[in-house]
Amino acid sequence: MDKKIGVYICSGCEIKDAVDIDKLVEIAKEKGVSVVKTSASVCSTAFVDEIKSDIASEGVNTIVIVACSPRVKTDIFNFPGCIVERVNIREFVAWVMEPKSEDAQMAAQDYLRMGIVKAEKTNLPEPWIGEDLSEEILVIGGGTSGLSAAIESSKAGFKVTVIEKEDKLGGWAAKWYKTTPTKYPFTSLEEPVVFKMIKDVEADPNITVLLNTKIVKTEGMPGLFDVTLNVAGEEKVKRFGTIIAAAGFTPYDVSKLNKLGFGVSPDVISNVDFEKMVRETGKITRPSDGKIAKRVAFVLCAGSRDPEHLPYCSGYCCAASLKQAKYVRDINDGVAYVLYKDMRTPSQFELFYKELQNDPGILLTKCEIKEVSLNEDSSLNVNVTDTLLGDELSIEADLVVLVVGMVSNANQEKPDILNLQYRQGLELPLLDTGYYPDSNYVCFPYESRRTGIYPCGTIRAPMETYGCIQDSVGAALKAIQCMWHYERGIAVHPRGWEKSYPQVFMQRCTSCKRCTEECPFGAIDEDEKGTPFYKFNRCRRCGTCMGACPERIVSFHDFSIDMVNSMIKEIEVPEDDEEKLRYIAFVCENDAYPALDAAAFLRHRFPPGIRFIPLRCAGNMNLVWIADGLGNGLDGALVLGCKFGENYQCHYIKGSELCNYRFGKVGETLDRLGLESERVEMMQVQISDYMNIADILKGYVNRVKEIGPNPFKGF
Amino acid sequence: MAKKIVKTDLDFIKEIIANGGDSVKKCYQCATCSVVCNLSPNNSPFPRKEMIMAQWGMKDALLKDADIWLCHQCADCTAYCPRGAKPGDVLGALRKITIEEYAPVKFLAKLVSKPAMWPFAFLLPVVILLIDLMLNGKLQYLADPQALVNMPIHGEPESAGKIVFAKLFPTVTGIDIFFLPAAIFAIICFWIGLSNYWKALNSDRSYPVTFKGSIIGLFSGVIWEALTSARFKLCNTMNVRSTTHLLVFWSFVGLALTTATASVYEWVLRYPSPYPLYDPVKILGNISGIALVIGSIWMINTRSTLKVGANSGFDWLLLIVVAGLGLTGMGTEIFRLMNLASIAYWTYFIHLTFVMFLFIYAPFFKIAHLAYRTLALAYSNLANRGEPDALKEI
Repeated sequence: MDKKIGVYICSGCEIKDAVDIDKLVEIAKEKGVSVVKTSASVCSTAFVDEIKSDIASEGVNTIVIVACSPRVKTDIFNFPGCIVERVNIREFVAWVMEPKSEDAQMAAQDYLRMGIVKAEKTNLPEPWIGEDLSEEILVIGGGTSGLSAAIESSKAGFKVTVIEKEDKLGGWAAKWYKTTPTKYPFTSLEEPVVFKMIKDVEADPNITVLLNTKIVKTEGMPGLFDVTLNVAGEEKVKRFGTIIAAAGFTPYDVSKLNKLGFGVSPDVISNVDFEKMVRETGKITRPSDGKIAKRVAFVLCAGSRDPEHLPYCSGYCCAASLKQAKYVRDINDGVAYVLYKDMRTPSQFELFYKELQNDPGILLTKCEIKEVSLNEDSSLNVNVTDTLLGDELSIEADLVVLVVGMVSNANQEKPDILNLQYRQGLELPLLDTGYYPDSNYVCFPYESRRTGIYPCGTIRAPMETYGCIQDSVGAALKAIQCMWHYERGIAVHPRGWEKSYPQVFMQRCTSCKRCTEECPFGAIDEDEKGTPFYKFNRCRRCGTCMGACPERIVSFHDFSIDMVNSMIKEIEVPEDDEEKLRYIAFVCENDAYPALDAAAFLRHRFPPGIRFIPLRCAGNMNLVWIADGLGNGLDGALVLGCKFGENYQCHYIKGSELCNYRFGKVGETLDRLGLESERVEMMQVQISDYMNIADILKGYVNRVKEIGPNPFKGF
Repeated sequence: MAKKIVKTDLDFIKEIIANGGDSVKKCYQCATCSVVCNLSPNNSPFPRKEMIMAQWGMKDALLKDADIWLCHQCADCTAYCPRGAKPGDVLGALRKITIEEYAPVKFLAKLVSKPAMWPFAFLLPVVILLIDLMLNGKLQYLADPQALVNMPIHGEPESAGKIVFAKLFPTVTGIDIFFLPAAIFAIICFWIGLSNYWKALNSDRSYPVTFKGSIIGLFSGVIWEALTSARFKLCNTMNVRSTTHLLVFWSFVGLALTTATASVYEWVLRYPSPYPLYDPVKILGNISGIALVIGSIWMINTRSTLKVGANSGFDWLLLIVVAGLGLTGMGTEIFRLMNLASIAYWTYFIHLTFVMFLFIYAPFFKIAHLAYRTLALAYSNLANRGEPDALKEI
């Protein structure tokens, strides 16, 4: 496309107090821009209309807004069919530098030139839209979560296939006698809601149910998942758009709990066996002699919150144990001892807890189990310590129920759920805690690390019926959103506005496989010859491949190696001024950039020599930029990535960590140039660091000042 | 700490619930109660442990727990309880159950236990007094008290025309022969109940008991506390109750002194009642009587208006009896001075009914706290767990 650039400079929001606007207009004209306009308020309706009339009458199609941060007013500066580049002289100059100083003026001019050159090199993206895209959702698992997700998706008008490995629907919930309450006043037990769901699903023409079915393999990408199913021994391939993985949980293996008395007597059973007994027989009896169990002790947290077994809390067990205690009261008119570490009945279950607490026959205490032993009369003795009485208690019981937690079915030795044909393995990867296939729960609920595959229910986190139902609604919405995006050629997540996708100049590819190794989402595969190719609907547009490629052949429509190099060249480096050192800072758009914006909003002072360039992710940092930048006379380079390692903050899981890894090699490059490697630093910045980010920058600048100016200046 | 064997007694839990501790099961053991209580000792504080034992129906342990008497039911715990478990009320219920449990005559204990039975409880002293009148041949005067006024007494002609209560209830055959045995019965019942309680307290060696000083020293400390309301004053929420309690307590002391001195007048000085208003006995009696009326009505008013704190029948029965005693006692005197013979004699009859009620039932209803609390406080002092920090600071 033939570009006609229009530069629109704002003088509002303190900008005109800080910089000489007329000088900026001159600079833009020097760069050959014919349409240059200024306004006291570029974002006003009148001025936006003026820009629109320039587009219509002057043929302007590349718009450079020289004003505020690109993170704000995105709805106002939205000109369909045009390239829009935002030059941030409000947050990066006017609000953080000495007004009307030479430093502020030079910074504004640098940013303006960088913006213009970037606009010159940007192309309008043409979205990639796959062919024969499917709009059907595959739900793995016919339990409460799976059926609920299927019903919700069907209600939204989508076709769904539910696969269940067993010969009937219902999952664990169909094996319960009763379930904990799901509606106000949260005091009475309910029939498992899953039975109603089964009826609804069977009557729903949008939902296909396949029983005795497992996945042999899952290939492809969102919109084009080709799933090989084994339906009762018969293999067939079917195409799905997205996948909801509701494959549930397995109760923790009670036979590992000998220290809590398992094996002492047949009358020490798991809560799952207890539930099964009540459902199947309607009675509560002792397995050893079949007598009615009048006194039942429930040992909560059996193997949970225990570093030797499951270190986490499964959340559901407290309420479920209260429910079972009620069985003891209702069926046997007996006494139920509920022995807990902490009673955790979140949200409305508190009402259920309060209700049952009032029952004289339900006796609760906080304690630690010391020993479960067998008495001579074949009753059991539960010795507990650390009670609130300060005494040890000895409780006689006819039946001891060990209440075990949930283990996600994704966290089994051989999960055998998705059988993904991805480089990174067959199943959903577990989050850093190592137990659940969740994504970062704060930023991306319901997302897994495999685009278009949404875990929900107890596979994702331990939860009870009510939680599963809510979770499945979220996952269904996510699946639908995913379809909406790939049908329009927009990145699925998290850059949900992005039409651009990686462009590769394949002629120069050396098949080094670095991109395929480093892609956190398995979006790049190799053919038989080892040549990489993309599965774009898996791609999250982080550009880790761009940073990885030693041949620098990966680029986006609006972001490339050459583009950044050109921008760096636009930074004016004063040659014989020891005070005016110049640094380039590459900042992560997701954490560091908003932190800088927030610091600017608070009018913190930034060192005036730093020029910021945003990155999609620190993972697309390419070392050539640093080598070229320092070669051009810049005094230092800085990368502000997000926190990596345990509890990482990275939107793309590993970008920041990979960048740090690459930085390990930057020393060699600089040594070759004869420069001190201390001029280059990578730091981890969280969005919450905005209060001290100015000090972080000052600290860096002071360290480089001690080294002195770049000796290559002027060459 | 000793290992406690849990023997859950479901009926005991239901008993607590039925006796004013209906909130006991709401406790979730956070210990706010023990923290806010100014009276709770640092070591094994109450009332949390009592709440747990009560929830678990640990009857044996609770019936020999002296700590329930360290509580003066000021409701600080109840006011601060985040769950509405009202520990103060639960301890009140436990005290009630303890008194009833150790009472030797269960039948009488049952009569005063439930409000529904109270009419029958009051019927007993009424019947005794009617028998009294019948045996003395005075029953017919109840219908015609004016006839009594006109007859002389003690062979003194000038007593004719005056209201003299001995004309209805002769001092020896009407009062002493009936009231002294009733008092002795109460003392015997107390003795049996308290000695069993003392044995029970000592059977649980949770707290090592060390005896220091003398028995007199031991009990005098406890009694001094009662006379000064030293512990009661540490309560915050219902601090006013320490004042009303003090008023009623001292008026009882004054009335006891009045009765004792009157006996001396009667039997040593041979000086029969009624006495003139300037007589020291009369002055003491009237001051005590007025204090009792004020104190008991103040108590009833406090009870009715306070939002927190016990409102169990257990407490109300004592309030009714105390107020009844005071009002009928003063009424008797006033109506006598006003020369309203019929009303004066009837009021006197009701007054004696209350006195008889107090004598017969003392070991079985709330007034027994006087003895049980004294014993338990003495035990607690011996076990070195009587003194809360707040008390030491005074």
